Amino acid sequence: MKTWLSIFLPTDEYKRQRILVFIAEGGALIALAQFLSLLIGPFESSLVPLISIGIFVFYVTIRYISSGIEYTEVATQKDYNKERKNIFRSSLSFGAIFTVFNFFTQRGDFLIIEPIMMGLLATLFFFLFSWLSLKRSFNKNRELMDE
Amino acid sequence: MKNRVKLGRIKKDLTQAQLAKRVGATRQTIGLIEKGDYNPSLQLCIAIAKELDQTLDELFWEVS
Repeated sequence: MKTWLSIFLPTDEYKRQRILVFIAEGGALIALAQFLSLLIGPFESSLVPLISIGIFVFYVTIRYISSGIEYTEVATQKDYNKERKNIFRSSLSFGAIFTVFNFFTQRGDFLIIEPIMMGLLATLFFFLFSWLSLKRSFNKNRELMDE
Repeated sequence: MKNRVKLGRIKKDLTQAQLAKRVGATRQTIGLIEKGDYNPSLQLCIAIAKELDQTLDELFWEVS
């Protein structure tokens, strides 16, 4: 399938198709949200696109995580444990970078604890989402594995 | 779609991961095809058939 989205999509055709479906469903939800905002509104003009983008990102992310297509090669307990360690390490790295970035982009007076708390929350969510995705992938792959 | 990919793969003494690598797919995709939970594109069907030295009919034609 030729589309300019190809540069963002994986090469594996199953994974590619699934992601395209999630994006299409997210797009349909945006259209629905816009339509409802016309019926229910008027809202503050900047609020509608913000909520629409939020719905899209949240929907596509949740569908991707729950579909179990992220970790396609994790099918044994050994692979799972190894990948969980990798996720833990990358969560810590992400958290550290996020905290430093947040610290330097704060404006005006702020408590030192604020960027640290934000960093901890970001680390926690990053780990949680990645771990859930890993767990779903592992369960899915186990069912498909060679006997 | 029912198919005989798993039989063909075992005959060639390949693991799911090995076949996946050879046809440019993931192990999960091969597992889904073997289980009949995913209908591959014609392009992928041909790639699998070539790797397993079988025809499309032998692998994918459903005989009732």
